[in-house]
Amino acid sequence: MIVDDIVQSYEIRNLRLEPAIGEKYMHSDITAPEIDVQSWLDYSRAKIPVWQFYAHGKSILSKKPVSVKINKGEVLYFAENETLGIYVTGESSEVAIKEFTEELFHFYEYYSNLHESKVIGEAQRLKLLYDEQFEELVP
Amino acid sequence: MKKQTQKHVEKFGINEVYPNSPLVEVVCEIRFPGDLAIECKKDEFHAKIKDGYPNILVPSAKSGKAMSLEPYRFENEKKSAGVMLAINKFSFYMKKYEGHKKFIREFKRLAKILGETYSLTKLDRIGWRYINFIPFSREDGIVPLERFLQVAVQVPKGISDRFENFSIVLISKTSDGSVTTKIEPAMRTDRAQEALVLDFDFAMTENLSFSKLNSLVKKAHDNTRLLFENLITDKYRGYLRGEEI
Repeated sequence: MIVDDIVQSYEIRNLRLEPAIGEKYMHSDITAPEIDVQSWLDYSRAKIPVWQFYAHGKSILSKKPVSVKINKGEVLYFAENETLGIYVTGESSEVAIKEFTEELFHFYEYYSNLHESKVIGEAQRLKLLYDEQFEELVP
Repeated sequence: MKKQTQKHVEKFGINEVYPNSPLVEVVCEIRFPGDLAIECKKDEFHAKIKDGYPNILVPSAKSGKAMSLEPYRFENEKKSAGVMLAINKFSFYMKKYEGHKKFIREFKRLAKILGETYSLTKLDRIGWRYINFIPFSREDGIVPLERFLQVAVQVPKGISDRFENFSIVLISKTSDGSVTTKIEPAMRTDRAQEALVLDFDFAMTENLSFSKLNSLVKKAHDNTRLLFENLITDKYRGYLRGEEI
């Protein structure tokens, strides 16, 4: 789903929400209504937990969530996970996550097809990680 | 709408602080009959807390709203915590939450000063509010609500339960008080990231008095914490504890 489609879904949602509901929510007895929740919209947490990755009509499920760190550089967005050794960039955070997914798929297939006798050191660690923590789901 | 509830098993410790907590702000507020002394002598209260909360934020005038009901804010240097005070309410908020013990300790300290400064006795309301932002990545274009929260929506045939967007507001009564819950995805203004807003608060309005404040604060906290723990999935709780790749 491209970013414009996502933005449009927010616009449709906000148009369809009855103004009365919003007013009732704000003026109903909520604690400290002065708190500006909207200001937190621009609050960015660097880590996004992702359990399932989709690409090329397939999906890979992780036993534990993969923390994808998203950072914005001057021009590009960075998506990375140090444990998996994945560092990618993208023109938007969505593109960066897409690139991250592609890399993850690539490494999953690579290490799945590699026999354990062929790896040592860091490659051995990664193979063990991919073998134990990830599984490809049958569509 | 159907709400899934967990079996009654203690899956968390009340003192547990999550390293990956989604909390962005915690507020505890008390309301009382309007007291003109507060309106006229804010300086007396601020003088007693000035060391910790030196910054004064004056409320801006809002059309149709009485200025006396808009709180002054007294904030710490780091802008991470502060007090809000108006003619009929007082609240303490923290943006970098370090656990309920520290929060409640500071709330009680400030409330004691408030009570001594203005001779408050009666309370109309006490509320505890958690505001959480849970960043997520869409799965196949859909908001993966079920990964994080135990909120199941039963929809009739023909309506898909694969949500591209939604907004849920629940205002419900409990045996001890009332709970207002808001769950909806939100997007940063620069479109860089989305997050689930989980904003809920628990409030009590019956049998309140300033002298019972200590026990009331604990009750408000415990109820709100339990609500949060019942809302999140076990898998997400694991992530909050740091179980991640």
